[in-house]
Amino acid sequence: MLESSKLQKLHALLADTSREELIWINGYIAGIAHTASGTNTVATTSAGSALPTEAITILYGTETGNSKKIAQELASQAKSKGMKSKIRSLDQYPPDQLQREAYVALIMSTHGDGEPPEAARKFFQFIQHESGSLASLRYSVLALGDRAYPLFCKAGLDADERLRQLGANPILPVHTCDVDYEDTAAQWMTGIWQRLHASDRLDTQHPYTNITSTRKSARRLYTATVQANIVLNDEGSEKETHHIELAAGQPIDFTPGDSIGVIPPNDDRDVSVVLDRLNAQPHTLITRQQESLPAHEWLAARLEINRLSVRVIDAYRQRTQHAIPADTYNLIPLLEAWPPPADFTVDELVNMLEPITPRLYSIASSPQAYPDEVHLTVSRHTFLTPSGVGYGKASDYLSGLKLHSTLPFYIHPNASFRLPAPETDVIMIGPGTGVAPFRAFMQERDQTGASGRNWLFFGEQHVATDFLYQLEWQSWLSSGVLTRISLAFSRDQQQKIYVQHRMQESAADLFHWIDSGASVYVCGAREPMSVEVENTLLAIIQSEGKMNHAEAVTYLHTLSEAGRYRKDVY
Amino acid sequence: MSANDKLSPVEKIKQQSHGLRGTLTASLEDAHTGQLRDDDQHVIKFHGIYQQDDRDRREARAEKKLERLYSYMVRLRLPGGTLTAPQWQAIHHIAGEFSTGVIKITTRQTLQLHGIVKAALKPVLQSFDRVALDSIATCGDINRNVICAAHPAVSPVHQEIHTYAHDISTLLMPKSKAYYEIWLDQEKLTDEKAEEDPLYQDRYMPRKFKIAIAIPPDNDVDVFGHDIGLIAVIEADKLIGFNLCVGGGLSSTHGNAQTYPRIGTLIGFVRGREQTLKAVYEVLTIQRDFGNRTDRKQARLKYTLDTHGVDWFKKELEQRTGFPLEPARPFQFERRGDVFGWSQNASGRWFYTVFVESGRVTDSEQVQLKRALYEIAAIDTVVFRFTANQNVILDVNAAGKQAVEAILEKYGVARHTETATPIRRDSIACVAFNTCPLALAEAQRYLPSLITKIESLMTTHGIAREGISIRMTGCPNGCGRPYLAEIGLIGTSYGHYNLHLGGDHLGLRLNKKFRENLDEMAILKTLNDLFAIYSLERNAHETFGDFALRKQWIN
Repeated sequence: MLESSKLQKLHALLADTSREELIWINGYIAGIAHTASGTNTVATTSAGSALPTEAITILYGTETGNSKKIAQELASQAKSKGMKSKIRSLDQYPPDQLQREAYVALIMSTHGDGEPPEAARKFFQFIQHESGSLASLRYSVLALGDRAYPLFCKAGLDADERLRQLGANPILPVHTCDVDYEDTAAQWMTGIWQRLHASDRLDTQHPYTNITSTRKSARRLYTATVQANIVLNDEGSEKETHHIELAAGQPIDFTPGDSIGVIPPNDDRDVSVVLDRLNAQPHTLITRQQESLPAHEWLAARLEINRLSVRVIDAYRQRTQHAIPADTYNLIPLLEAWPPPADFTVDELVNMLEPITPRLYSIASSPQAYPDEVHLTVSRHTFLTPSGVGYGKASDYLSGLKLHSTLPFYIHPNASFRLPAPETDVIMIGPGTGVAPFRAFMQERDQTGASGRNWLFFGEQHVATDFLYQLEWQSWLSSGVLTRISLAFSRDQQQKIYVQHRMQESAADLFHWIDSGASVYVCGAREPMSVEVENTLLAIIQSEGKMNHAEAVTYLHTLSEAGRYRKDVY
Repeated sequence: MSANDKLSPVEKIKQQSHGLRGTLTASLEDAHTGQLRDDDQHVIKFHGIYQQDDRDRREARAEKKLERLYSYMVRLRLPGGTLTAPQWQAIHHIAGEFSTGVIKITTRQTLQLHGIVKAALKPVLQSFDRVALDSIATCGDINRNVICAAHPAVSPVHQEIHTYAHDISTLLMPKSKAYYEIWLDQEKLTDEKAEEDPLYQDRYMPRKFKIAIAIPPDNDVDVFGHDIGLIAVIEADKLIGFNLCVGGGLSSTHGNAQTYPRIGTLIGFVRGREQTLKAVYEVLTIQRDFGNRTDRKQARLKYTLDTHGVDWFKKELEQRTGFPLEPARPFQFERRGDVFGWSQNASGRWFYTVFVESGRVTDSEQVQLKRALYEIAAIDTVVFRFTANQNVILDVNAAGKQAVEAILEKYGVARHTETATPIRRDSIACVAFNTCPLALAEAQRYLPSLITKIESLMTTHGIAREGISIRMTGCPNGCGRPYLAEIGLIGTSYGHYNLHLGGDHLGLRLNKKFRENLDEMAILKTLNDLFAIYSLERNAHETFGDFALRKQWIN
């Protein structure tokens, strides 16, 4: 690469240089190369400054599959650059190994009220309780999130902060991504390679600042008209499950397995009470985070005024100097019990409150069958987020939707919950409203003529009143689109029968399907359903596959890694 | 016989049913539906079971993407309509656990339970089996439950005649063991020859087949309304044989002039047990061989008889039995309705006939009939006898009479029976909505309230204690024998009925259509006008039906 004259000069320079000097020179040259490159592309990095010989460990905690996708991209870049890498989902990674790692790239999504994804729970517990030093570790975090939620990218930011507290050295600052994460993620990956080439220490040369994409989320909002809202349960049922059809009047861009996000509005009467209490006009324009809207709009459609978060209570306590005991409050009783000072404005309030958390509902229809519509299956009582925030607000709101009323929604993609190739067999386990995406799957496979077999496990309380979409499953059975249906109605007999019992009854067939390449999907309640279904799957793999427990776990993990065991649980 | 390709579809289903098995076992295992596979819906009738659905819920459930609310009616085989007390107790519990809870006494002197879901069918039939009851052949194209004059006090040879009901029922049972295999988990038959059926072969009857036995002077069974009617001939307290009537049948179809109700034709007398059973058997073989198997609306014996003529039929029968029919003996009916309250027979047993409105044994605020009967059934010696008028006779010994009386008083049953007007006590309504698939209009859910209004008209015209027989059915198929009533109300569409007049008190004469498609207001207005004339112009002891005929209200 170098002309022979330059090469001779370099050799002459290096001939009588100490080891310390060599290291300094290495960094110095890398720095020059970095500044000179200008375009920030990996391709322009000097090949002369080699990547470290240690492996980079790429860890991801995913909720929708995006983290995994980025992790895989990073791993493939590592390979093309000749750097060793290993890639692990956080639930498959023993956290005490962190002390032995040289380089870690952590891709962390956030869900709910700033929670880490389920798969990252163990990892978080470890770093929060660990007191040892990670001084030999160099790392960087890519935080995935959604600005629609109050605690944007919280899990990733927490992980980054904690790793620094434990003495780990950032390769480059944490990057936070909104829903359209691709640009920021690419920037982060490029940055990692540059810094690793440079092999300098970030904390000595740069102030530590989070890097956040400034581009506003390009999430597309649809306005839907309610064209059906039917209670699927018959008289005498203890359940109230609504089938809701939303029509957008234009094609909606989604894939079976996706959810929609809806922001349930506040009660207009409550908003009026709040405005009156603060002597505020509903039409006063208020700016919050560079967005200006009338006060009424902020309070009715954008900001949470019920079950206020601890952060909002803290801020209000500090502002008003009232001794407000820690508890759950709605805004109106809070204003009544601890009135704000006279100079407290609605402007302040709007900037103190947090956005209404969007609620996600699996789409129960396929765009192949209904291009301009999404269908939902909403149970009025049973939705709860892990943080304890009632989903009741949203399910009540949706359940109460009148025909021809309108509401905004957006598509929340679920890249990890996708139909496999058309010829692949599918096993769907979806009791209760967990059946929603499988209705979408069946519509899709029916419309596209997919040749793979389909087996549904469904359960509810009573066959006579609670067999959601019974006529549709029957019609798919008789047309052959649905190959097999296994039903568990828990309260039609003395002993409770659930889907996992039906799985056990069909253990041999089920294992044969799986072992012959079927993909397994589970949707519905995380606890206890998905846990018991998974235990049953393991038991079936163990007994039918003649394996011990550890082998069964590995078998299921392999399925999961191959995308053949997918869960959408809540 | 017509060419095979013109057979009605049900004929093929019967022939291909592998001895009434069909694919019932597979149908029962279909967990995704409460109904049976199409052909099995016909096959299961031969097991005494009807698939029904709650017609009130159809529309709402379709919108909810739920299939119809299917359930099953199970009808017992109960020749002569008697049960022991422990059997009644068992039925009480089965009804409570698996059905709507209402025990329905039918016009065929048996009991049926409604609202049983598919998964409960086997447990129900197994529970029946534990008390020696079955539901074989109580529906379908086969001889149905054999009915017989109910009240033991009617004759000293009542018991002997009742054995005929049992013997005829046994004689005409299908040979298939499918019932035992499918419902009672008995071992599968390996040798199909063992259930070869010389009577039914593989095609059974062309249509349902009904047999009734009357003991004069009671015609509680409406003996002329059945394919075979046997009228007991008793001389000097000895049963000597039966007058034989054939070709009665009450079903018709609105707008199909080829269909009509028909009074049975008295064709002669058969002497003694052997002749009687032989004659009955061969009437069935004639109908099996000559009955219409291409058009189910022309498939009853009455049409075979009218197609070929009575003389041909007699000749054919005599040829098959090998003995000539004797001329019919004289007989005299005096009564068709039940005699309510207490009576006693020659051997000293006591009978209390309970009025059961529309045959529905249940508990209401005023009358706790179901509880009362359950308590009475604790007395082991009580026999339950069901009448063709949908009532129950409690047959008790002298020692038990007092206890039974006390229970009947305690639960308001005696008062209800004894104070009900004759018109209410003699009324009959079929099941109709919400479970009968054939119903066009309401019947048993509606008639009691209509009678209340008719009662007040009758009071106005001073004829409140007249026993006018009124019968209502939700369709023209005749399950409640409306064509033999003085006032027949036959459903045409929801809330509308044809009004028939001119039947007699004894069931000897068919009524005729007087007005079409009346709603309630029109029914009441019409009856009000007719009652006004009747109360003014009737002769002494002239019944409403006879009066209608004399006035030529119908021709």
